Parts: sequence; C-alpha cells; structure tokens
Amino acid sequence: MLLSTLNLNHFLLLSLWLLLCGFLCIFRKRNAIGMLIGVELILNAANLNLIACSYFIPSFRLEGQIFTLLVIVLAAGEAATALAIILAFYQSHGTVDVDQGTELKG
Amino acid sequence: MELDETLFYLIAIPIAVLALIIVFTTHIVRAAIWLLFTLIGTAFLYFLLDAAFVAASQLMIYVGGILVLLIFAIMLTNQNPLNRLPISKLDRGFSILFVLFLGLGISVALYNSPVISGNGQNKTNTDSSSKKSEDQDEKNSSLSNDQISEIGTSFFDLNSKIPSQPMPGFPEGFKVNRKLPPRTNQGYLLPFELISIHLLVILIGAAYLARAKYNKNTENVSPSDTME
Amino acid sequence: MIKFLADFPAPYGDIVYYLLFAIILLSFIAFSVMFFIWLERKLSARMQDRLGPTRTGGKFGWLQSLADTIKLLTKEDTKPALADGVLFYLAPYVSFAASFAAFLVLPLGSKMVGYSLPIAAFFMLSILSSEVFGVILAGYASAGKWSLFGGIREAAQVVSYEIPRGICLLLPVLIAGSFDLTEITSAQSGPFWNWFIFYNPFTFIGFIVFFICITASCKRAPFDLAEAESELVAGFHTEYSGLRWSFFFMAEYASMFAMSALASILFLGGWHCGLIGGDEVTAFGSIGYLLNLICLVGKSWFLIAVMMWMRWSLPRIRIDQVMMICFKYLLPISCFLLIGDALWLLLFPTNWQIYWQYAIAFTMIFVKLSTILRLFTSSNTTQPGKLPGAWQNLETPLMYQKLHHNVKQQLASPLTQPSQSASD
Repeated sequence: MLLSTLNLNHFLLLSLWLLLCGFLCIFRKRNAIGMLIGVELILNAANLNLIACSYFIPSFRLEGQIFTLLVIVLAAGEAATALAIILAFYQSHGTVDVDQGTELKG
Repeated sequence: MELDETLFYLIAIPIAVLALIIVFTTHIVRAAIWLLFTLIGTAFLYFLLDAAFVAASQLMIYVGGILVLLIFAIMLTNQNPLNRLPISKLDRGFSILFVLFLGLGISVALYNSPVISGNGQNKTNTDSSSKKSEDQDEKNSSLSNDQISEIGTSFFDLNSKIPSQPMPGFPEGFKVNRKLPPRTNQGYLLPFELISIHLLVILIGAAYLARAKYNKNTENVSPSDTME
Repeated sequence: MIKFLADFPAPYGDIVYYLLFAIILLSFIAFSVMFFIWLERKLSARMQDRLGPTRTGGKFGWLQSLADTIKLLTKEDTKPALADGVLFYLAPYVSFAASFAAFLVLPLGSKMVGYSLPIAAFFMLSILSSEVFGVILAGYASAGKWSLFGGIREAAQVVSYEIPRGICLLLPVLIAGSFDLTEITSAQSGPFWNWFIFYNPFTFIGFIVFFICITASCKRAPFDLAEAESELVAGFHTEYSGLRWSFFFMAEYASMFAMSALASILFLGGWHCGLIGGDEVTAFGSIGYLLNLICLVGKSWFLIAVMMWMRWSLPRIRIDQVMMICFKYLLPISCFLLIGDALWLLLFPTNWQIYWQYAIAFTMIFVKLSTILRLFTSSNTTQPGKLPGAWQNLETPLMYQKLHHNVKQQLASPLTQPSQSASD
C-alpha cells in the first residue's frame, strides 16, 4: 500500500501523543503495574516512530523494522522482570503501592 | 479524503483517546484492556506502514504475551480492583507541568528538524537521492517476500543490501568513523546474540524472583519488621 | 453488481466490495458452526451408543442447530450484579473478532484469499493467540470464582502452547522457504506424496505435535480446562447466556476451523486433492477452483471430526499435566524436530528425497488400510486382558493392568486405605 496523502508528521505527532500519555501515566499511578503500563505506552510510541521513519526515510527502511523488533523483544523481557519484581514486592509487603517501598531510603 | 488518510484517522483517533483514558482511569484491569486496544491499533498502523512482520510480532509478543502476563500479575496482586491509590495534588500538578514542558520541547525540536519541516521525504532529499527514493517507493509499494527474508538474514550478518549513504536529516559533517576495516557483510548478529543472552538471563532472573518462597526465613519476617 | 459498485466515489466502492465479501465469509462461518454443532451431537451420541437429535427437521435432526439458535436468541441477557459491566459485555466480541480476523489471510483455494499477506502463517498464529483475551476478560469480569479459575487456566495454557505451535509452524515454512500460505501450498502440488507431512520423518511427527497444540489452543478436550463442566461448572462462560454465550461458541468453532485449515495447508497439501499430477486449475479450468475449495474445506472438516473424536474418547487431564505435556514433552520434541528438519534439508541427498516420500506415504496408507480392515474383521467380543476392536490380539498396556489390579484389590477389601497408584 502506498500512502499518498499522509506524511511523517502525522505519525510523529501520534507518537508524541503516546509518549506524553505514557509519561503522564507513570507519574499519576501509584500502582506498580499501572506504571508498567505507562512504560509500555512509551515503548509503543518509540516503535511507532521507528516504523514510520522506516517507511518514509528510504535509507532507514530495514533498520527501523529491526530496531522495532529488538525493542519488542526487550520490552517482553522488561515486562517479565518488572512483573517478577512486583510479585516479589507483593509477597513481602502485601501491596503493590510503590510509595510503600521505602526501606532503601537513605 | 483518500482511503489511507481515512484509515489512519480511523485508527489513530481511538488510539489517542484510549491512551488518554489509560492515564486517567483508576481501574487497573480496565487500563490494561485499553492498553490492549492501543497496542492492536498500533499493530494496524504498522500494517498501514508496510511493516507486516513487525505488526504480526507486535500482536504475538505484546498482545499474546506481555499483556496476558500483565493481567495475570494484576489478578495475582489485586485483591480489590476498586482499591484506588490517589496521588497528592503536588504530584498531580508537577506531572502535568512536566509533560507540558516535554511536549513543548519535543514539538519545537520536531518543528525545527529538517525531516519534518520539509513536509515529508521528497523535499528533504537532495536531487540525486530523490530518484533513489522513488525506486525505494516502488519497492515498498509491492509487499515483497524479500523484505522479511532481509530482516531475517540481516540478523545473521548475511545482508549486503544495507544502504551506505548517510541518513537524511543528519547534519552534513556527521560521518561514521571510516577507520574501521571495511566490511561487505554488515548485519545485526551482535545485537541478536546479545538479546538471546539477555533473554536467558531474564528467564532465570524472573523465575528466581517470582518463585513462591516457602522457606522459614521469609515466613518469620512480618511486615512490621521490614518497615524498619 | 461490480458495475453498480463502480459508480461509488473512489474509496467507498472498495469498502462496500470488501464488506460484501466479509459478510459472505461471516455467514459461511456461522453456517459451518451450525453444521459442526450438529455433527458433534451426532458423533458424541454414536460414540456413547445413543441416537442424538432425531426429530427436528427430518430423520437426522438436520435443523437441530437452527432450533438451538432460535432458542439462544430468545433467551434473557443477564449480567451478575457484581460483574464489571463494560468488560463483561466486551469479552465475547473480543473473542469472536480475533478468531474471525484470522480468516482475512486464510486462502480457501488458489486466488481465493481475502488479503494475500506474505507472512500469512505467522499472522494467523498471532491473531488467533489474541483470542485468549476474550476468555480472560470473561473470566475476570464475571466476578465469580469458577469463571476466574477458568480464565487463568486458559491464559496459562494458551500462552504455553503457543511456543511449540510456533516452532512446529516453522517446519513447513523451512521447506517451502516462505511464510506465504499460497506458496506453501503450491510447493505441495501434485500427488499426495508431495505433501509436507510425508516430506521427512520430522514433519511427520511435527504434524502430530502441531495437531495436539492446536487442540490445546482451541481449548478442546482433553485440554478443555477453561470450561471444565465437572469441576468449574462451565468455567469462563458460566455467567453468560443467550447471544453472548453463542458468540463464545462461534469463536471456539471458528478458531477450530481456522486452525484445522492452517494445519491442512501447512502439512496436508492445502487445496490440492493429491490424486492428479499437477495443479487443479490448470487441469480442469474453472471447475478446478471449486475442487480446490471442496478439498480444503473437506480436509479441515476431517481434522475437526478428529478433534471431536478425541474429545469424546479421552478423559480431561489436570492442569499440571497440561503444563507438563507442553514444557516437558512437546517443547523439547518440537525444538528437536526443527533442528532435524533443517539438517535434513541441508544434508539429505536430493536424489533420494522422492524415494523417501514414496516409502513413508505408502507405508502410512498401508497401515491405515490394514487398521480399517482389522476393525471390520474383528470379533464383537473382547478377550479379558486384551484390547478391543482393531487391536484385538494386543495385550492391554501395563499401566492399565496395574490400575485394574489395584481397583480389584480395593473392591475386595473396602476398609483399607486407597493406595497411591490407584488415585493416579
């Protein structure tokens, strides 16, 4: 499919919107899993950015897709580790509220 | 309105709205479900942008893997889904302010960058490369099988098709260090191997962290002990 | 019709055109689901020495499914008081949309495909794996213990079985050198020994592993842990009624059909009938297209019938056994098969390839024919300690003999504690 009327700006703006929503999501949630959802949104914004660039910038065609694949795989790893940490935190504290994790405060 | 533009807005507007709902909802399971639809919508955008393999990977890994894991964790940790965890007013104001500044900064940077101010690709490229980009467009327009095998082979250092000219949008003086020995076959074998090892470490680490601890030491430690 | 559509403004004509095909496909799926339900009732009835539906619509109860549909449509649409409203109403549609979207790239014959995607096989797996979300949502939103158990079991099961399923998918993809289902099928054109199931021993075992995995991911018995009637009432759809419940049912049967069609395209020659030398369309002209359609649909229906056969002959297994089968057996086997398949492609001499295909194909035909022959010539009574039917002269496997022995001992002395092996 050849995009005729769309250009990079559309996708970059959508990606920017997703990035800002992700940041806001991290700031506004005290639930650790909610913060993880924000991280996923940010990674998604980055992926969309990369794919849009891979389509509209010819010399970036392969790299964009490969970087996105790497990001997706790393995101899977990140989610698994983060959820394992959250579960361990829940086992020891009985909550997922990140404000309760203050033992290491200096 | 052309078909592709219609399709873009049909997907992009729900994505944007759902992302906003994710931010402001306090119901954590619903946030995960709206994230599911955001991810599916992004995968559709990848299809629109001719990246079918990445889109299918996104559906497979994000939707079929990460989100299932996420909901699993929510069900394991949330005894009461309606348990709201409000943040303080100071935090709320600070977050809005930070995000506004960030958005403003990135918008200004985008507006000044050569990629976006030229309104697309054709004007940013020099004359010599615009002809090449048309060729690339033709290649893009037909969904070819080569694109997928290109991705696959480049992970194994077997690809020689990687373009060597500098990327548009970068300043003139920006050059790769040419002192390195010239290689005919460039690829992504190193990141591929690194990610494999990384995933193995994650597998072991996550299994170690999340295992149920039934030994005596953790049972004796009460929450009040750990708080001190 | 096409002429009429040409009068529409540019994009909308296409949209109407595609919508039309979507509606045709949807009604095809709905009608085949009705047929499968009737078939399942008749098959299960025959296997349990019953008659099944006999009255509605003539001698064989043809219209039983239609009557069921009318009954479902008129049922009251209820929602538990504690249920999460939005998610409860959303869940069936998520489930159905995911399994219906797989038909977008599924070719039902040569050139009979909604959208010819170069990664169609991978896309089908990925879109069908998001069907699990409807089940998890239903389990969560119903606000009941049984539903939640069903949802969590389903999530664990489907995510686990995705891995061996994806690896087994790679076996034919390696041989054909493409993810495109049309190319995979055209690589298997010609007589039946060209089918990928007979290509080498690894694909032969790979088909069996793939079939077990798709049975598990369609949550059919013996893997129907998510809706185990005897322990979880009905699992994730306990609280659903009427039309929403039927959407879950449609999703299950539609994904069964999609998966069986995928399996027959990958391993069983797709839409080639396997009896003539070349492609049907070049041989018979436009009748060839119809023949293609009949072949593919027939093969998938056969695989669905095998799934039903398995459902009514095997008991349900426990969730730890489901996980153990996946991670301890199917995953290592499928990894071994992938490596073996790749080595075979690299090392096996191409001159001998066709003889191997002859050998395994005709051996399989011989085994099947002799089994059927024994089935018809066997005596109607079963000897003690021997297997029934086609296997009449074989000993009962040791495991079951031991079980029988323990049960007999228990019956003889009911006061003693039940031994460990009997409860296994």
